[in-house]
Amino acid sequence: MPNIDVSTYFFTAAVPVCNEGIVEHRSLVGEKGIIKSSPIHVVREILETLPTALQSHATEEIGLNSPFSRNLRTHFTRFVILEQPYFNGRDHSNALVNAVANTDLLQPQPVDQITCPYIFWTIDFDLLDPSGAGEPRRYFEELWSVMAPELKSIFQYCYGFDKVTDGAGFATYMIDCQIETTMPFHDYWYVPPKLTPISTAGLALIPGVGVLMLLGSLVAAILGWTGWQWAAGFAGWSGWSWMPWAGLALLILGLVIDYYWVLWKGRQPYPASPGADLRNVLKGLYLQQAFTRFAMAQQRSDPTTWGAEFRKFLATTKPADLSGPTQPPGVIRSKLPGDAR
Amino acid sequence: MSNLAGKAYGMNVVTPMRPGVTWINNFLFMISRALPSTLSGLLGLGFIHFARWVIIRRDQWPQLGQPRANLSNDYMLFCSNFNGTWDQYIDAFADGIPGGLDLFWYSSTKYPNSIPITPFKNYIRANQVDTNYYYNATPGSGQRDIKLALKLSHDLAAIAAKAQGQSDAQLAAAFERLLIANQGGLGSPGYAPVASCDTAAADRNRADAELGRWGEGGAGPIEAERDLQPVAAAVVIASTANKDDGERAAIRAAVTATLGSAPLTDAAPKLAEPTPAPPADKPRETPDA
Repeated sequence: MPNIDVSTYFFTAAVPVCNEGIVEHRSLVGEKGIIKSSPIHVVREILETLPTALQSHATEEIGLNSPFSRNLRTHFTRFVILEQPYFNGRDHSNALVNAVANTDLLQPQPVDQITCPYIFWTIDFDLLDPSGAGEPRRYFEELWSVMAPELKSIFQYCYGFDKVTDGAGFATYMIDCQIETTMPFHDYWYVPPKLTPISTAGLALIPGVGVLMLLGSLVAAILGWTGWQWAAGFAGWSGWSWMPWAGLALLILGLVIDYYWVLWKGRQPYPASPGADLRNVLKGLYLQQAFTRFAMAQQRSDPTTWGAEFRKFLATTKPADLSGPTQPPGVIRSKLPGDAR
Repeated sequence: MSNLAGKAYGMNVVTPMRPGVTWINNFLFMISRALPSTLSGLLGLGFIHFARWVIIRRDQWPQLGQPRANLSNDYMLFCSNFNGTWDQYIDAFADGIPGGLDLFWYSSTKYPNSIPITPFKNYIRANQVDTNYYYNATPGSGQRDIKLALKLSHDLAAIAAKAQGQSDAQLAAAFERLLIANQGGLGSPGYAPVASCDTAAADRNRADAELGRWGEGGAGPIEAERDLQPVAAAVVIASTANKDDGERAAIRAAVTATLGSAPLTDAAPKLAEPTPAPPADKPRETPDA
């Protein structure tokens, strides 16, 4: 299923916002008065002021990490407000066809309008079970348990959100708003993946037989037409009148089978990259920084001490232990012993 | 907010597709997944963490009680998390996998093809929707840093598993082999280059609001009641009907006093009453029809 690929869930949702009426709330900045605005404006303000990861000097000074950093399965997530889809102009058409058909190019084509703004929410999160059993419900219940106030604040003006009171309700709501991801792509494979392609010989088999029968019929028809009846009979095609129809039927049947086979094969998830979930990534980044520091230190030391020092390094950094020491999510770099801050 | 989260850029592109050709695009996606060698160009780029293409058919917009839209297009949402700038990304896409791109946007209306690059960039920018909130769990590291870190971590764990039974000399040799094998993967995480002074200033300017809401002792989330009818319907109707002659006269008098001249509306020649327009042959087209 395309929502799941490489042991990751690619969640996509479009949540409709009821943008009717006005909303009043107290400003925290500026003149500290009452702000009156549309609901979608408030949603934008909420998203603007939601803490991001500690990803720049300024955000590090603020010191508030993103609420999503409380979850150890979320690689990336984003909210995008779509007020109206873009209109790309009149469809392409051929000038000669237009002239013949007397098409009025000044007659406008319909422009799509959606009836309310939507919040697109996309998340890339790790699966606990490679089969994806229980997802994404389990993830949303986890998320609700660590950031319910933020989630309520973001979705409070959305259609139907007033019925959400707990984690289970939130998960149901988000699943109702879900749109299936068509084509996921993820590349944390540090060793080349072994991906099995669909069999091209298998794809070609039935339509290929159909094409051969059609070609055979054509050859027999030409032989018959040229008077070489004996040659057509020699080839066993003297009673060939059924063959073009059978060939055509096989060709069509084969193409239909191939179409559904390709759709089925395309929906199968690619295998997981071993140890590439977020906890492994964070541990890897921690080890990368610690090992770089360690390797630099060894450049200036006696090689006979490397073994003992490396043993100490392994004991301190515990490479197989994902629980720690490691890098927390949503920060630029790990804090290592001896760091200035 | 910003399309940037550390070293990652979050791109969103929403393009319309005519419903009759949506199935072709879906088939092209599926055949590229069924023949993974066709994705080698995309994998070879080496700066995309996660990406997705989502086909939203006209009847697939979630319905939760909002008025139903009468759409004439299906849409494709493309979201990508990549390292580098917008220009570098589009350039690399068009230079590296132009054929693949043209197939993935095959059904999108007015897609100009990826070469030449300028119309392609214009098309992407024209259909791009900016990100309102973007979170990246590893903002200091690029996609290649992460892959190299995973390899190093895997190698280190393998050595650590056998370290107990090994002498110091054997461990020193293992360290040397590990260092040689991973010497290209010892990158150091860091801040992304500042995209613009405005981006940096926006981060600083958000500090008060962010701390005031979510900091210690902050006001907490905005949970404001919505007033669905802030002005009574009767007042709105009365104001548009223009029936209050007394008020109109008062306003006219105030304007006259301000301008110091009498209005000339009565002196203007009277216009003939307009004849009613003939009925239209066909119903007028509504924008969302």
